[in-house]
Amino acid sequence: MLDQKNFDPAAYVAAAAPAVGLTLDAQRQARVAAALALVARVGAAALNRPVPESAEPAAMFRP
Amino acid sequence: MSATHNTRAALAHIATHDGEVNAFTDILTERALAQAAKVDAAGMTGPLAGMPFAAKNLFDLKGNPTRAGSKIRRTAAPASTDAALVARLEAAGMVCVGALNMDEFAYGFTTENSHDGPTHNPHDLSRIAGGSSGGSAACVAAGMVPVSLGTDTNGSIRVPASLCGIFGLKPTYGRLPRTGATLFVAALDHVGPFARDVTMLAAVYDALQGPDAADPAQIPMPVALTMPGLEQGITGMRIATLGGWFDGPQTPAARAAVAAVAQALGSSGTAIWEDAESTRAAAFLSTSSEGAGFRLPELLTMLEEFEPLTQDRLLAGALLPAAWIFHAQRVRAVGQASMRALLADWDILIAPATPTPATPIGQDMLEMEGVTMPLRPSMGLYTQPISAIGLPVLTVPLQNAQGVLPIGVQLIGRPWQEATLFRAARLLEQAGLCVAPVAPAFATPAFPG
Repeated sequence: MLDQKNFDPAAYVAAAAPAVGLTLDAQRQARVAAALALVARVGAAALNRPVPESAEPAAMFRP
Repeated sequence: MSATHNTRAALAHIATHDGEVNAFTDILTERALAQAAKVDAAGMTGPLAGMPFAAKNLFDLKGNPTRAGSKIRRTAAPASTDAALVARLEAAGMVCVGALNMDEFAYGFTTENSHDGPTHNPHDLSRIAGGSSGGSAACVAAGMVPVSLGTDTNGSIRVPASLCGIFGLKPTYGRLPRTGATLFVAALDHVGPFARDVTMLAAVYDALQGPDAADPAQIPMPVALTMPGLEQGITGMRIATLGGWFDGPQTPAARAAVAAVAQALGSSGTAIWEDAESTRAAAFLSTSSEGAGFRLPELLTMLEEFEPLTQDRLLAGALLPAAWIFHAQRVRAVGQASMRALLADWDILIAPATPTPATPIGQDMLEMEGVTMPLRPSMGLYTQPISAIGLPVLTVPLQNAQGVLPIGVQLIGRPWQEATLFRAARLLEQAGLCVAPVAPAFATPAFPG
């Protein structure tokens, strides 16, 4: 799912912040973009893992 | 010894030593002495009667604002009642003496709390206690109380138990009620106890079990007491060591600890869970998103009041695409299924609890076996995949794993099979491999044992 080559965390943060009501100055925006890049880097192992159509989301979980 | 005697001893030990450790955020002398007097007046008996304990400061304590390690909750209204687990321990005759330091809103593995100060590891005060339940582990390791309560979303019981060298239980997801505990990531949050010996941990865990209609996340399962079978040993159990992801970057101390426990338990092979990394990644995404979502109203209005170490991470989490989170939840389900298949062959799986013993307070990066990584998220490398699918884990300690520093090993079981883990932990304790004496610098504990 994640296109790491073309995903631009800085551009994404700038575009998405107003969607949840956040106003970020340039310095803060850069730090948040760095944090997002880390989330994307660690999360890639999940985002790039194919799942079968039958896999249900586990929002509330019963082990 | 009377409850009042024990409580006064604990309060004195805390007064003498907590200045160095900074495990406590609130010392509740008046409340504790009143409860102790009640226990004594009632003539309560039993293994827990009159024993002091303390709770991570995200558990409600009646009359006290529940801060969850934050600045923004300092002016919150006092809790109107005790959290369910606190009430259950006091019903068994225990005495709550205070609230404990933690990473703000449980988001962290180090308890370097900027508002309350860092908790110091009792084995080396220049090092972290682990987190997010750092105060909970440190106060037990320093002998201030014999028992504490913590929470574990991605490793927050197991990491500090490992770094402070004590026993910690993260039960099966949904086993114990979270009523009155501030949530961090509802889909992943567990509650559980710490102690310095397995018998005490088992007695406490047994007292904590039982249904609570007020908790919508608790799963209705019969109470499964661990004390009756504690001494039964592990004959017939099938035990393996987790390889693959769990054989990744770690210190020699972590490797040696896993090998020693594997040998002592007669581990008969290596088991590979192919979905460990993707499941850990799914938990990382869910934590980022849900942890931020819970706090979004406050992030929008009081950002600068949040812990500086987590402000940017929370903001990033608030922006994650919904498609990422939906996919992560499905990856989690896939990981659950493949682990379930693996556990058909094994009763216990062994894995490192932390990749390293305690690191210096303030350290940002971790280098192990030629790999450099950010320290704070990496402390949960080997705990996060397991809590993501809700399996029970008992962390057992090995002392002097790297100089004076201890380290822990995870004993991972099938869902609802905590009793199996207790039997194995008790055997390791009896063999002298996994023991948790009070840290030497605090060697005159309020409670020996």
